[in-house]
Amino acid sequence: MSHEITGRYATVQNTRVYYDVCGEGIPLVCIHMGWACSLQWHHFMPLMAEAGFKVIAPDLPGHAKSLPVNWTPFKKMHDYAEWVWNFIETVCPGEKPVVCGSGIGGDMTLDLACNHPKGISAGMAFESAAKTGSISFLSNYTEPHTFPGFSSLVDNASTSAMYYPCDETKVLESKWQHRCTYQATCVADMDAWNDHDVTDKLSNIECPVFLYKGEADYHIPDQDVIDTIAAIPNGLAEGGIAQGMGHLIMMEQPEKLAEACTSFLKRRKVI
Amino acid sequence: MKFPSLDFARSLEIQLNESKHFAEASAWSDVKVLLSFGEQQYWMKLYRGKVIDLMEYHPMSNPLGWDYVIGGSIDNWNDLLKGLRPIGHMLDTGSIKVDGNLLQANRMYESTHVILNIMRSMKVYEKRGD
Repeated sequence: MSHEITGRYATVQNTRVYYDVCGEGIPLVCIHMGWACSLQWHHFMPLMAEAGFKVIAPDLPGHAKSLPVNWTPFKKMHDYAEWVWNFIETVCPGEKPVVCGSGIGGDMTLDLACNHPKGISAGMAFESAAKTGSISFLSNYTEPHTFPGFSSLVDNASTSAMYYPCDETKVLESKWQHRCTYQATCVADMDAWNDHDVTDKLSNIECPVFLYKGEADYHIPDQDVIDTIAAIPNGLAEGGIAQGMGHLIMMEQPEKLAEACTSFLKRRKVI
Repeated sequence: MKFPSLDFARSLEIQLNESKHFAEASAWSDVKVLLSFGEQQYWMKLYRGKVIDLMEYHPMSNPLGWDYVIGGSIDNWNDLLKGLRPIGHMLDTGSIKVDGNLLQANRMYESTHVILNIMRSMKVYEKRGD
């Protein structure tokens, strides 16, 4: 298997955005977690490229190499999701991609499925549910002087919900993947995570949806994922709890995740 | 207005409290800062984005003490206030020294830059026949 990942830029909402691309085929847009960036998908992308996808992973606005829209991080999940929609329109014009995301990226995936039900062919939301919220104490810590040890918080919060024992190099790589984003954006990501609630819009969904979470991820209760699957109408949703995985599902077990995703997409006749 | 003087320090206090940037950079401050202009020193209490108290400071006479000092020689202050040298360069080289509780001072790093920028914008410095 040899699928090179290449970097590109586009302009979305009048702002420069960076994204990685890997492979050729059906567009698969991968949305990273809060505080992270496109690097998070680097082990997963070649696997999905091998399965026949053109895998596209942007840095969300204000993360890593993408500038924030109007120089202000998003704090509302729907604003983020609409940005992803505009990104899709720009990078995959006229196409109907599969969208996957994890954490806040999973929230955006569900938001897109609810608000652009004809725009995507399938959604795969990891570590996400119809309503999310966990780290709620951060809103006052936007300015660096308020939290001098913030980088340590990011290191630990990003990796503490992995499934252990875990390969130490994966833990270290995961920490580095979360070291490219400014503190104010990290805080805003958590505001958006706490803001997300599409419970009343799940009935809009028209495409297959795969919800999947690692058993060790304490940021989201198992029951919330199970309840979301049950609440999506017409049997469109499936998924559950991934054994032996945690919060960083695409880093910890990329092969198992890719296998689960392709199986789902084949069952649902997306590929 | 003369530099250094209590009038200068009070004028600085007013301008800091009118600054949105200062309010943001010190939003969660609770520190006592000593401004040391050569032999003359002024004590400021920063709390929640504002200067809430200011007075002349005389060593051993202020029971509240201070957390960190921003200080230098009059010549160096004049260089800063006249805009002759970049503020960052003066801080990095110790021409204007920040000392004391550096955990607090470094936490308030941006606030110190705002204070020095506003001081410079006041265009007041010691007149020495120049």
